[in-house]
Amino acid sequence: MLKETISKKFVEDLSKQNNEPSWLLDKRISAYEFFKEKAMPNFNYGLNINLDIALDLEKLEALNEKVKRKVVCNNKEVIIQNFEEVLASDDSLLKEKLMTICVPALDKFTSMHNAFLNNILVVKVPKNVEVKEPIEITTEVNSSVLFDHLLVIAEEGSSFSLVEELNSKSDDGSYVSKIVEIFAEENSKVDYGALQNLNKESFNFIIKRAILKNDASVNWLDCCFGSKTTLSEVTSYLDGEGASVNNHGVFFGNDKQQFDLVTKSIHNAPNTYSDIFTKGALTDFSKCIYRGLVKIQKNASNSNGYQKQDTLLLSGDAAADSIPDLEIDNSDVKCSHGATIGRIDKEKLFYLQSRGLSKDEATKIYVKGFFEELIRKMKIEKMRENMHDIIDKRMQ
Amino acid sequence: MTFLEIKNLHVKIEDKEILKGVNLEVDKGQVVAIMGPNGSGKSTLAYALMGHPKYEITQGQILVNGEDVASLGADERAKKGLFLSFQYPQEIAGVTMSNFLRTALNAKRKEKISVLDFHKLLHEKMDILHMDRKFALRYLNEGFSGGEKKKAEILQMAVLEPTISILDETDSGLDVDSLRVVAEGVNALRNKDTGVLLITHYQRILNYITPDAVHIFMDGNIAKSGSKELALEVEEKGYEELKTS
Repeated sequence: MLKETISKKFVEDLSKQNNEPSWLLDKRISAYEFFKEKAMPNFNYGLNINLDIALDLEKLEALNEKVKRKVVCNNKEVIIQNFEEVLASDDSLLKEKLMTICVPALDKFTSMHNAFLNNILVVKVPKNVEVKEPIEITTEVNSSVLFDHLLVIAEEGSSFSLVEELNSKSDDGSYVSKIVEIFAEENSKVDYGALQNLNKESFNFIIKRAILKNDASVNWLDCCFGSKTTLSEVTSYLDGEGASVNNHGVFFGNDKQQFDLVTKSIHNAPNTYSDIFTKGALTDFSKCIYRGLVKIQKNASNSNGYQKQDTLLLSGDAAADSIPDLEIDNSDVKCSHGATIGRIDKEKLFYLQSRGLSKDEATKIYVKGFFEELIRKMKIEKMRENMHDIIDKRMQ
Repeated sequence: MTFLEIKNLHVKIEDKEILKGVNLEVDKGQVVAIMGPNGSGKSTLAYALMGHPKYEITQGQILVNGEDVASLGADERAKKGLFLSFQYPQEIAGVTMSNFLRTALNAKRKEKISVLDFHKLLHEKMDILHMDRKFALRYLNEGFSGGEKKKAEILQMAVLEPTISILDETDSGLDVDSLRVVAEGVNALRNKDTGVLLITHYQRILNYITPDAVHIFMDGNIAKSGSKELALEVEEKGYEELKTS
């Protein structure tokens, strides 16, 4: 395939090739207009550290390749369709939901994603269906540019776990744009786990958002290990009364990896609950900026919103900064927020070493323990093992 | 040769001399008690013996089996047979007691112990200490009560089988029942190949563990030495009177 760069014509050709309905082309074109208009963010948040991001989106190669993907789901009631399958059957759901939580107008990255989107997976779990075994999605990035979208519809009373792994097929760098939109209808229960382990030449842009209706619950566990630079946002909109969210995340950087992480809980209804908890370790020259927000709107009385972020610095050159933020518009709520950035307590190291562990062994067991609190929440054993392997390798 | 020989040990912390020429011996099969008031340097001795980096040895020797270990790190000293039961054990989140002890045991041994053999060993030692086996699955000291922490220290000692165990105020913060259980544990683990250096403020633990020798520690050195009767004398008269007598 010939190398083509980002252009309006490319957007039109892409839509034509896919035999897309006109609503989708319109959506792409309007997103493309946003993309041209929006400026690249400067990644300067007034913190003690800044990220070094030299990326020109306009010069990206616009590829039209389909991604390699493995999907495992043992429940026949669950509807899982890729882009072609959705377009070939009924596209009304796609039309109604696609890019409605992560709207293109958000920023340059999101608008670009919508304009050039070429891989979609729709997972719909019908009303009151309880899926016992986790739904597993493994994606292998094999092209220099990928725009990948996951749309999850949890119908009323449904309950399931969904786990995604994102890996690189080769050592060649890729631009990977990943958006996840979760619609958690009344009383539904969604467990979402993700393990990003792209190669260190890659750039990863991630937005994951969920809208929760009455008494719905969503548990996120988002783990970033790979890629040279990761920009990630995970946000939950608690729109229904009694909705609850655990928004947990893990990262571990080495070499010159950079992480720009955002987690948010937006409480829009009474009796809602959110718990944000992110843990990360940084070694070598890696950096992380973390920004968190718990926002409680005026009508969200009797709600609880918690936020915690812990970063462990394992080298003198690693750096981190965080801003945990609260915006509260209702006095009848319980909220807390806190962030720690620190090194391993020397007294703890001495304690471990006094039992015969070398400094390296003691550090390793300590760091593994540090992450364990969140890893053990991962329901799938294989995924827990993969995470242990990655952490083991990082500690060598 | 006595297994642990401390010769003229001087230790300082941040330019302040705490230990002022301590001479002490503990051999296999012995229990040697060190008693002393707060601030006399008892805990400093414990930390210095184990190699805490904050405690600087300015003079003297710590001989383990004839070899001076004063320049070695804590892990090397542990491998040579020393063990410290901490007065305030550290909490290590996310690391189960079982996982930690297996890692520590493997670090000491030449050949790795199989998971099966390890659990057999662990359960055997837990039974001696009347510990619930679920204990092994809990994170190291995290959320443990004071008594549980001290028991957990003794369990680590039991599994790692050091030659000389330094018990730093293992009795502090324990109620009578816990004290008895911990002391019985130590007694059950005593044998001709292991020695104990028992550091305490109070005499009461010596009602359960009979020492072969008692040293009274004052102002960074041994002020008086004697047999187990000396401990009772301290209990009766207090440290101040002993100082003047």
